[in-house]
Amino acid sequence: MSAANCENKKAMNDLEQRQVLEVHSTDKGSINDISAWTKSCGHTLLKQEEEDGVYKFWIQKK
Amino acid sequence: MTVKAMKPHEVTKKVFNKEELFIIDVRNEADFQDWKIEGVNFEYLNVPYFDLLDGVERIMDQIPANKEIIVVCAKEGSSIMIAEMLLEEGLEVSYLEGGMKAWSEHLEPVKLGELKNGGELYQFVRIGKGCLSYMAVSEGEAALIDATRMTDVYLKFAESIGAKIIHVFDTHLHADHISGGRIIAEETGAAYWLSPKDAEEVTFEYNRLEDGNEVKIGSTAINIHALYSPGHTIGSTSFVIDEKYLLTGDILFIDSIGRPDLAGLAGDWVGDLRESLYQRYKELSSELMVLPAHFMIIDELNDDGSVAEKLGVLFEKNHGLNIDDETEFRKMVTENLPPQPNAYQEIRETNMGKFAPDEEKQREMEIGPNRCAVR
Repeated sequence: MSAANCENKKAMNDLEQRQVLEVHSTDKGSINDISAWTKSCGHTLLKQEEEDGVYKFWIQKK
Repeated sequence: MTVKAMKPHEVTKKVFNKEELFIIDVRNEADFQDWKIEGVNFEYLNVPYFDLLDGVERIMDQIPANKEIIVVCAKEGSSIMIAEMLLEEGLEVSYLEGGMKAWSEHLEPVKLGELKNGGELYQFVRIGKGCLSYMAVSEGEAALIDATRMTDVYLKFAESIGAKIIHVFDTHLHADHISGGRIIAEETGAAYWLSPKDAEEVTFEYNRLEDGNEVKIGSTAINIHALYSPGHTIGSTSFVIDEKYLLTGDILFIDSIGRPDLAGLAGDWVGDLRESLYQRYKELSSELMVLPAHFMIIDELNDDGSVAEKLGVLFEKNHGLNIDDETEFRKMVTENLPPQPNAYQEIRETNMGKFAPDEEKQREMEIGPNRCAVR
């Protein structure tokens, strides 16, 4: 689980449509979680990358 | 009040005893569909935790009031969070300690029976993944067959019963899980045996396991006889222990047979598979107790949690042993095969010693069910 995802959801609520949220997480499980979550909510996962154990995601609000 | 942790061992006992349990699995749907905790009397509710962040009220009416409830996730973190939210709503719930990661790694030892002169045979049931490994013990000496990578479990178990592991076997080069055999042999000084036909690319020293090889454990000599039985892999070898038990590896299971496609071409090995099952096994005593390296579905478990059945019974009931027509047999084991196990090529390379992933990577490679059979 990633606590990141809780924060995500709150942050996403504050965004306008088509705006992009950048998320950083140190939990590898977030790759799985965030892709499933964006899919189920209809957001678009634009990009993801890993750098020194930090997982970065760019999510576009639907 | 805090939420209770339920250990994999406790859940395993509920599987064995066919108890009821209501499982709230908060992983995402794809992961749940692919692989979950199986129990004859278990019920499930799958809701990803990220759909519950705003509250659990909307699932309250889907949770029965009179059942024991456990929340399950991949590693335990989100299951604790959801369990706490349910507790606030007044529900008494547990979470699975260590999540599906721990479930995949849990081994439950089950005593199968006695060997000559006080010896014993144990089956280690890897309940979450369906892998079975074995320890035969006699007069303080032990032989281990198809050990998983959770090497500590076997080492501690042997110590607890006062046995020293002297022989370690793999029935074949596994493609669905990482073998602990070589590491245990290194740590204990035991001999590690593998068929040279499966070991052409291995990077380590081993004892050549060949048809007719016999080893003995204990001074009263429990006999372990190797029987070459190719088909799942070209080197697949069975063992007859104490003239009573037949360890079939991935050639023959309780309700299915081995698939021939994980280490080469199904078409090339289907003939070997047929010969092993329909000729070599046919010549053996039907009284032998078959002990496979896997179970596929939870229905294959006996009441004590063991997975074992007489060879004679399997010749009557196992569909894979009852296909008279060779063409039909060929078709069954080469067409419509189930999906291949997760990361099976990487797992094979790890078992050859070519690739040494860290523990986390090993865990990830082994995720999911084993899928070594065709039915």
